[in-house]
Amino acid sequence: MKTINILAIITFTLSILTNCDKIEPPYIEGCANCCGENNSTQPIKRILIEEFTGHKCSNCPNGTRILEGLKEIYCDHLVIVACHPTNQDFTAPNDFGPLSTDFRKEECTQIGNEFGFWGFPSALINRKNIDNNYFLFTSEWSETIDNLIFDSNGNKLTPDLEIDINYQINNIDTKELNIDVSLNYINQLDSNYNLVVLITEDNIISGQYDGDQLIENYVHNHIYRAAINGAWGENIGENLNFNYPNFTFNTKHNLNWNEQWDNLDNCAIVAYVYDITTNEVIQSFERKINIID
Amino acid sequence: MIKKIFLIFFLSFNGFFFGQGINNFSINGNLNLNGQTFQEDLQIGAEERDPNLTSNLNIFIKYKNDITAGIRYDIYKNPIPGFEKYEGNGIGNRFIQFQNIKNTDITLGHFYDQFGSGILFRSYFDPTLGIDNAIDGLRLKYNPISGIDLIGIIGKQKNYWGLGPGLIRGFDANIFINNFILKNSKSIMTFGLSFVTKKQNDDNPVYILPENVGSWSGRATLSNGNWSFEGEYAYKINDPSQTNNYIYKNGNSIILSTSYSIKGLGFVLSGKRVDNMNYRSDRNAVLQELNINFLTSLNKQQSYSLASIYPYVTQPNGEMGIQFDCFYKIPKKTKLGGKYGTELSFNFSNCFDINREPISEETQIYEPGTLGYESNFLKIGEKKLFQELNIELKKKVNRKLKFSSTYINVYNNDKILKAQKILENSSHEEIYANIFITEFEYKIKPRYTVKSELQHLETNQHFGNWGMALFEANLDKFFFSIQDLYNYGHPENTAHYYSLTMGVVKNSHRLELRYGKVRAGLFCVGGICREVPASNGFSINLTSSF
Repeated sequence: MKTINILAIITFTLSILTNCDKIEPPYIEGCANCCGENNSTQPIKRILIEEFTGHKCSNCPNGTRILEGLKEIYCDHLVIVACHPTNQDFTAPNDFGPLSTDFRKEECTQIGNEFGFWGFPSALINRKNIDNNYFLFTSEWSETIDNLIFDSNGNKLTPDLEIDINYQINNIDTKELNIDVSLNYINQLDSNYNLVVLITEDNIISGQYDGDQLIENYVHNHIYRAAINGAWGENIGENLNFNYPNFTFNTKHNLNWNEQWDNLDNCAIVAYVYDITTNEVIQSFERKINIID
Repeated sequence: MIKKIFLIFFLSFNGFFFGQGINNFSINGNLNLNGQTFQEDLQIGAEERDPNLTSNLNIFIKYKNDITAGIRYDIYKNPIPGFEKYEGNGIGNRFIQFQNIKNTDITLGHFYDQFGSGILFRSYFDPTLGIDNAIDGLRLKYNPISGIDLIGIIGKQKNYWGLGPGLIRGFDANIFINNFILKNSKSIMTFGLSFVTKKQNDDNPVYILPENVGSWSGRATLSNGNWSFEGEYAYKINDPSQTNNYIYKNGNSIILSTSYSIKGLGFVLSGKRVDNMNYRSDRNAVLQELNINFLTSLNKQQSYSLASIYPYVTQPNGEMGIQFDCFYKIPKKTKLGGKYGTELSFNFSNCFDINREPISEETQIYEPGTLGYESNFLKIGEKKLFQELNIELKKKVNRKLKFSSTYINVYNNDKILKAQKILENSSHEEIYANIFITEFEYKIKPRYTVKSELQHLETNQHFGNWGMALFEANLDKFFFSIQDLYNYGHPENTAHYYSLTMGVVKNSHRLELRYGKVRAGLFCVGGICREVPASNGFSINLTSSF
């Protein structure tokens, strides 16, 4: 009995010792068909990522780096909007110095409140509810994105509708734009939907805490700058099927361009459609503004 | 409905075991019941909420000393913020344990245990902290020969009402060296070795994750006369997770301690270093969920209310510090000692961040999908996280009266720890505080004592100065206390946190009723903390053993 017990223990211990996975670099998975491109022949599913972040949040750049890594893998499948809510210490601007840029948007506060924002860095991924949480930890981002793009057999899911954005610059000095959003319904849509259009800005050089360091010339991208049709957008109807509606917006009266935000060439127009009953975003699209065009 | 279930349960067991008089069976257990009401109090930021009820009922049935079966019924009705995932009621713990089978002890079901100091593995239940990381599986304890204790475990960790996704396997050996060599030596030596692995599937499409994360630790103790030495070292292979930002660095931790004691004098000097030792059975878990290990805190566990306002929260991602604890009793019948002697205690502890350097010019410290950082084992990090100095004097004046006086100096780097609540439009800051405490205790007659406490906390940061007064009476079976914490230095809103408590203790039963206000803050046990929201209301607490 004693010998058997000792042998059992030795076997158990050896099984523990030999069950260790030492991973050698590179630590990133290769993915042959993860990258999706807007100009491909088939419409692709685009996932809206609303990254809640703050320039005084020292852990937020790690979240941003994770998103940058995911963007490299999934390419145009991801549409990123960086949200700085108004009601958080980590987003408050200083009166002067490297952290004086005001990135905050009231619409981000409304979205945060609606979906139970609990802390930085976290993100809404298509506003998908995972285990009773809309705001997801950084560790949950990649798996959630992957599950939204691929089915269980590893095949890419097709979107229920396609969005396209065109724009015209009416006045470059006042940054007046005419925005035309067209929807192309691919599948029957049985619920009730809203369309949201907003402006984001890239390449803003301003301060950011990164770990223990204050990076004075940090590059902020995808910053939520303006809601064209409000935080929750406008209703586009229910039980939609195979129409091709267009929605036209003019930014003359609702964009608050200011000294801190004056580079139209770094901006993008983002549009997304979400299901009012489930809150889930079903498709999104981003069009970079190019003043040379 | 629940009451009916309990009643049927009790009557069934009473009838079977006691009514029928089967002597080989015994039944015992304990009950812990807490209820609280919450009313709105804008001055302290307390919200109105539905009354909360928490109860844990343990019942153990023993057959001789060979078999023990246990069950715990938990009720969490409207739990406070932070405990929401416990909402519900049901069986929180059940096990059956077979003992004395040829030096073997087998447990099936939920069990709590730890290897060494818990540096690699500790499962425990602390309802006040909302921690219940019991293993649901199999535990085998075996003593092949006298002086060797072996433990093997396998199972999954409890996570609220469900189980975590990771499978934990562990083995621990504890060897009493003197049973084999140096049998007649005055030195007593033990040696221990542990291995733990966790297995969790890699479902991450971005990173190549280790599905099996192994760890080991070695420990030793040596005591000789008045001296004692203890040491434990643990090592963990790459374990990218939410809490370390998906870096692939190995983890390690060391704790060393030496102590000396003679009559009237004793000291303990301890040191520790922790580097990337957050170890959980789910790599996505956060807060207090699914911790496999427990990292001992090296600072004084404060019981005085103002002394616990700025506690230190253990940093499993990296910390290094020391603690020196000393006790001296000035002998009786000396000039300073007086008739009964005077007790002096001194405690000093600090904790620093560990040194971290980027692994290359291209990568940031803690960049996901990299080794994260390099750390010089002996180099102290630039940031001091915490420091505390405690000086305490206790004096028995005569047979009825004794008093104590305490001075505490605290440095808490909340700029880094970010554990304290802050006001809107303010930032986390480094907090420096001085705390003064005096306590008098007067014995009226045996089992009849009255006690008073006066405390003051002085700080120029955070919520400013606090004062506190307490009067407490223990009158045989009954106890009564009244206290007030007054945050008179608050920059925006000075507030009183008064409370009135009364209760009765009879045999192994204790009932406490309380009305009062509770400040928002951190509640900590051994460096493990949870946030407590401000509240104003009545509470009831019943503990009972049978």
